[in-house]
Amino acid sequence: MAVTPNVVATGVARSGVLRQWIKTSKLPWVPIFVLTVLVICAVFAPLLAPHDPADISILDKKIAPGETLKFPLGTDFLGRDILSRLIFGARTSVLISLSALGTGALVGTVLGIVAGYKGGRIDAFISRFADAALGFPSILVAMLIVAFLGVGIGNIILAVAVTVWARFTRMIRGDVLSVKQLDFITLARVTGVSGLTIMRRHIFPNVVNTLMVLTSLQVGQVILLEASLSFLGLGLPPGAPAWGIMVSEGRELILDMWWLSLFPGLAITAVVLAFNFFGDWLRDYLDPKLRQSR
Amino acid sequence: MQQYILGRLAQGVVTLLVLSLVVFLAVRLSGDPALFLLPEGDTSQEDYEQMKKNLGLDKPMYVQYGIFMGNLLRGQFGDSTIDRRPARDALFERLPATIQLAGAGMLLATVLGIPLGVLSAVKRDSIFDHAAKFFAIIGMATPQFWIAIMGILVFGALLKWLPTYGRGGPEHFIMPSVVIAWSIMAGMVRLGRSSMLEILDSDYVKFARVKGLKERLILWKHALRNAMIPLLTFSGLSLAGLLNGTIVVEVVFAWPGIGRLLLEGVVRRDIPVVQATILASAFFYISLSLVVDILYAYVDPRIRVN
Amino acid sequence: MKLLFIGLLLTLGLMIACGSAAPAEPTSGSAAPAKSTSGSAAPAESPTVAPKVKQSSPAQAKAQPTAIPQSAAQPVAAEIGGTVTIMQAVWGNQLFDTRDASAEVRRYGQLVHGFWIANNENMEMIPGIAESWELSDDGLTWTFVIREGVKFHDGSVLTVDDAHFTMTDSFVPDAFASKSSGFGRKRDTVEITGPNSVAFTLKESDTSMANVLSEAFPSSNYGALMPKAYLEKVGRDAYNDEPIGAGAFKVAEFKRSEKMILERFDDFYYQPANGFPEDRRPNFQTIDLRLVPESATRASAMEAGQADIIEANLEVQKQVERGGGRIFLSPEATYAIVEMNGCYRPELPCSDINVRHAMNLAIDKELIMSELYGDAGHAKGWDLVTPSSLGYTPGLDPLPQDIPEAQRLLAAAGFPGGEGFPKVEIHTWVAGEMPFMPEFAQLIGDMIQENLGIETLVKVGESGAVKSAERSGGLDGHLFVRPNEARYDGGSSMKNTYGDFDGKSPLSKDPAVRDIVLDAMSVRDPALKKGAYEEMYKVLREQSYAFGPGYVDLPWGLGPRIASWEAWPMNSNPTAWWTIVIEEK
Repeated sequence: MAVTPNVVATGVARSGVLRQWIKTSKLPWVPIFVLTVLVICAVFAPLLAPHDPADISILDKKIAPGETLKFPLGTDFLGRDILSRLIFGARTSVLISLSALGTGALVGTVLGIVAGYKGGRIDAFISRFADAALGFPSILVAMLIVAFLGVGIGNIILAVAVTVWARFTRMIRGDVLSVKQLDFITLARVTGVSGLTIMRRHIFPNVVNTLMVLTSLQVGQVILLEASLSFLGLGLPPGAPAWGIMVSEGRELILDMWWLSLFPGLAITAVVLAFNFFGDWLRDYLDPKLRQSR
Repeated sequence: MQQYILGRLAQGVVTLLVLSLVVFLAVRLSGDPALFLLPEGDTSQEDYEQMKKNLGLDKPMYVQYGIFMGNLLRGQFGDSTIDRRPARDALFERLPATIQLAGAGMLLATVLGIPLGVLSAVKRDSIFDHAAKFFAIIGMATPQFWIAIMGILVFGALLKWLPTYGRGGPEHFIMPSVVIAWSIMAGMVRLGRSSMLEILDSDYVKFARVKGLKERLILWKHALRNAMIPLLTFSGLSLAGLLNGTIVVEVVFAWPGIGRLLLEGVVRRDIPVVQATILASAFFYISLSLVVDILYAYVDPRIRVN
Repeated sequence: MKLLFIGLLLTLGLMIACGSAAPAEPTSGSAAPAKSTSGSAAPAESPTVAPKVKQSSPAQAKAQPTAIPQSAAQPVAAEIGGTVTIMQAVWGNQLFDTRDASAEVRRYGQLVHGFWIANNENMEMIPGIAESWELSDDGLTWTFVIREGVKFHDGSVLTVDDAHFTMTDSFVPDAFASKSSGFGRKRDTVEITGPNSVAFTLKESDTSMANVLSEAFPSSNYGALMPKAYLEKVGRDAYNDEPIGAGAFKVAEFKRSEKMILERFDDFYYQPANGFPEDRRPNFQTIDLRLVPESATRASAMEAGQADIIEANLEVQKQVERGGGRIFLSPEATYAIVEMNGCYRPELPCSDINVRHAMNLAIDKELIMSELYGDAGHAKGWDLVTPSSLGYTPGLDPLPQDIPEAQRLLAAAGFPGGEGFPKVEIHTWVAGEMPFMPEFAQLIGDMIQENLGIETLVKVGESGAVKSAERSGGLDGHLFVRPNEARYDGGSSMKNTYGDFDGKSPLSKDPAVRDIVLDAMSVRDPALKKGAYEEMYKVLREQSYAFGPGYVDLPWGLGPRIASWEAWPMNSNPTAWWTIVIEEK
């Protein structure tokens, strides 16, 4: 049986990556640590959180951090435990980011691959559409969606997905344009492999890198978008366990009940930075040009 | 070159058309506008029919779109359902404020960000480099409304150095522009830094150094000029982020711009105002990115050929 | 608190000292004989000088507004000066005319306009621009007698023509303001029936019209009188850009969505020179009104000394105090009500009065109001009947929590320990006028669940969606928690809820209850009205279709320059400005 070009190409690619990783393991440890904590909190929230985040306990309201062990990070003006809300907030952020980015990335990647591979009129149409979408500030889109479809977590996810897909399309398309020129693709086409198969089996694996980098760089934006929307009253309802709404709820008490905004604010900043550094590292790591120079 | 400009112009127009279609459909497909706008309480079927007639919703879709586009081309967006005045009036009343704010923010980001990035590259890996990167990135990773409120608290209420709200003279511009600039500065700094690094390491500059040209001359004349290209692109891309930022800043600083107008329209379901604001913003963004693209093509001939 | 008490004492003393108070009731019989003065004829020509209202550009933001020429009826008191800066969160649709102004326009509308009927601090109706008013025997025609000598800001005299014009121009079916359009639909004729009197005839009886046209009515500017000549001359759009009215303040500068500069109107009609018991002109010269939507910013502005009065909340109390100011609670701004829907349907468990009582008694209203709202929360009153409302007695206050009795009643109804009782949803929304609505609902749900064993679930939606679900019967068998602005006369609201079975959302379809409500509503003699309302409310409260946990006050932030202010209850806008005393420090 003739060895298909596919196996040859990706086989070489895979073992190359492995070798590189073993040689130069300059991992960004701090971001990875932060992200691991994030994921653990998100997955195991009900086990980790000492209290139910929605538990209003009027007699325990406005406790400062460090006053009692029962509420290590204090409580808000309705007696809800800050630590528990923080942990569940991780879950909300991960949920929103994953769903929204997942959807957006999926749609964007598919469109990007199709546009780049097919070229011509389809490419022009998709690209113009993506340009138009890119030009839209995400808050505007989110506001439109929330205005007409109502508030709630589902609509926020939709709003973010709608603002984010175009970025993926643009970048992936660029990638596809360069991959398209490679010999093994031409070979596949000439031997009559269907376009769909080519896109799925040959092109996609080679744009995965860009996909991963872009995703990790966008997570920060998604989390910040939720915070802004919550502040404007268009995001999650007050009391929901989410970092953005927690920061917004504490904004009138920055000096007097400083723990309300500070902890979720730090969480947001830490996670956004972690994703950014990780994404940067990933991009540098996967960039063929830089790989050469190592 | 002319062909390129014409081509981009055509694309811009098409994009606007697509956008207008999207806005038109979004409003009509997401629920019945007549229902939104009926006052609560004693409303009968008659009132509902009357409202539909008033809004022109009793005609078929394509006729509605025709009317919508016709009005659009004449600059009519309809009357605000809440204010009972043409939406266009509210739009033009408040547009200058946002343009000033966005312009100031952009200017500040560029004026502070680029030199910061360039200096970072020159003093690569020093404390200064790390500090500059850190400063820029904090601005990008913190919710803007929080930065704004903190700023007002510290510089307005506690230190009493700056006014706490409102549009006015230069002192009113300082905090709002800083808040906007800080969030887009990160990109500027990093871009300035990486472009500068690339150029500093390039053979061209090494050669110039060997020739014995003064360090300063090399820096400013050759390197910076070549760094303009990616910078222009980035400016274009960050425009969207700019409009993002102005909404929150306008709310916190009580700045009477179109960001707040849009928010109010959205909250009160004032459809003509929402349409007018979205289309106006889109128009500005597309025009500006057109200008950026043309400048880009002017500076880099390779683009034109593509 | 002490200041408020002293202020009330002083006002009382003033009223007594100035002789008999103005009549609170409309005189029966024909209107008082018109005094013949030369000024009573409608001005045939346009007013002397149109006021110059500046639409200034930002560069001129600090320029002084131009002085507006007035035809002074009396010497201006010397040394009236000073500016009060007030920061507000919303301005509604920023219109000034009676036809289209939205509800929030109250916040500045009351300062700029003169109203048909004024109020005293007990919220009772007293003569304003109308000397007297009465309802015909058949309940269809309201006749108002306009007093003479009232001036608009441009110096022109307000006559019965302006009154007639206001009614025909504002009360039309397609008005934006809901009651304006309501009056428009019910309107039959508007006639000038004498040199100073105008009659408004409706197609169906409406005993509440006078109340709606009074200054204290908590929404929009229904009672504001429009200047016919000026409005017709400049057109409605220009009117809304540069308005004039007959109120205590003239609009010197108006920058939409930013600020309004209001100047004292020295010829404001409500002063002793015109026979009134008190002078309702301000003790200062200027109000600088600012629109600042973000509450953290308002608090910082107060701390920085850039605002004298702000719309605040309890969270920013410390910040206000750091700026040398204090929180002032304007009483009875918003009440909360828990309603049980659809209980007139016999198949639902809540049709049994024992079930409704049980839920009522299971809830500790004191705890909820004090813990959620601190000093601003009060577990008093029932539904919209707050202590300053017509017909309030302490006997209407909420029932204290009584868990054993609640459980006993539930068992008597056939659901011991909550067994067999279907799950109850508690619907609410996030409201601007009353914070913590979702948490409010949560506490109620928790208490019902814990004490009665009934499973509850809180559902927070959007106000529009929840209200329309209620109307269409989607909330039957469930609870509905909502806030609403407090008001003086809740009669028409009770009529809608208990007296109109085909209405939009009746709570009860009990004919006996309906009859009691309709009887109370038909009482026209004001002396008897109070007693009738009391009885009506008592009966309705007993039914427990709705029970009220209480009401909240509205927190204002007052800066150090404000020495005192006796704001009226049941208002979320600046009332009783004449009681503001500035202390320049």
